[in-house]
Amino acid sequence: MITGNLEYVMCSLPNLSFQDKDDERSRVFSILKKYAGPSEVEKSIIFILEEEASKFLSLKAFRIYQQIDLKNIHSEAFQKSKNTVLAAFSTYIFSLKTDVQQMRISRKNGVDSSTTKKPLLPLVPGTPMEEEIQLLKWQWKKLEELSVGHYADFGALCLYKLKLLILLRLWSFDQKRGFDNFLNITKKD
Amino acid sequence: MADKILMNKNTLAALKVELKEYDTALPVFEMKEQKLKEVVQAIENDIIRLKRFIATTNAETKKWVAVMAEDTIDISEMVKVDHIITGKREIAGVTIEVFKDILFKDTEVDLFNTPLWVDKAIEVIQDQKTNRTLVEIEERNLELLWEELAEARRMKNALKEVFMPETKENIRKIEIYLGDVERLAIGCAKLVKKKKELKKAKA
Repeated sequence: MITGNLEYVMCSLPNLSFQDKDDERSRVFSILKKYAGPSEVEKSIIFILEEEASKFLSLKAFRIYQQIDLKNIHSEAFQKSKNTVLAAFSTYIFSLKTDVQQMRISRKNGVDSSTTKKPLLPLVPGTPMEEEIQLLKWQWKKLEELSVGHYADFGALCLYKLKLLILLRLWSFDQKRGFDNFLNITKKD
Repeated sequence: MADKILMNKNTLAALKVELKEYDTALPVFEMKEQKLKEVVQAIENDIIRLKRFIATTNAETKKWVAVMAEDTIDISEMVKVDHIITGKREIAGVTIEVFKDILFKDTEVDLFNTPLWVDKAIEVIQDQKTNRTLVEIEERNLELLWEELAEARRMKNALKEVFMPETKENIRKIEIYLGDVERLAIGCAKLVKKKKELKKAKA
């Protein structure tokens, strides 16, 4: 076990909190960018984190670490992972995605969730942005729950990457860029 | 009309026929102008309403559109227009396009892997595309109707302000001329008759 080294990494990484504020974003970015050399500042912060983690992980663990992504975290491979943190979060995301899928089917069929006996998700109806943030918050909360007892092990590093991925998704929500995309798509054809 | 007219009865008759035709044509152009004006007004109102609706939807969408900055998904493929169904309608001699339906390419949205916001985004984008298509069709129609309206106005004004007054004036001139000729002929005939009678009396 390389706990000692990981403890060093975990302590030096910027603390993450679920908030979409410019100063919070620049704090996380600036700290992580310091890990990269001057010629590597253009690299994504996820890549920088992975590079830093690779110094303290075995090849097998690093491969698993590299594969962690919000797009595939629900996959069977992660659900059956020996790492309890990854397996638990993967199972949670799979279940959440299944429930969201069911809710979307109901909405498409015009079934009002408020009239159904038991709503699939405790999602407070709102704008797509508000709903998306609720889903991200639930995932964040789940990661917080799973982080109990994991402070400087591989699980903690995995949780950190997942939290960072969630934050990066939250921070990618940009009104100006989104509106430009929206206008481009509506005008195209 | 600027040409020199022949001052005879045939020309007078032809001009009277012409004037009668103008009298028949004028109300037709007036009615056409009126009808086209009404349709143009209605279409202009529709365009204003649609543009206002597009602007309102844009403003509403702005509240949550930030999620569309996410570069993990390209929804432009999910909202591609397959084809637009239109019909034809004739208004006062103008054939205009009538929007019937808009069909989008049938793409299956992966409800498991795509983000939740995609559903609403697709719905709003399809609505906006439909409204933009409606505006485009109505603007094309408006162009055709304006052209026809201008032509109807030109014809009405030409009849009212040029052809009819000129024809009336020419009729008046010919009638005066023919009247003068007739009076002159009567005068001459009377003079000849008087001379003949004087000759007879002397003999």
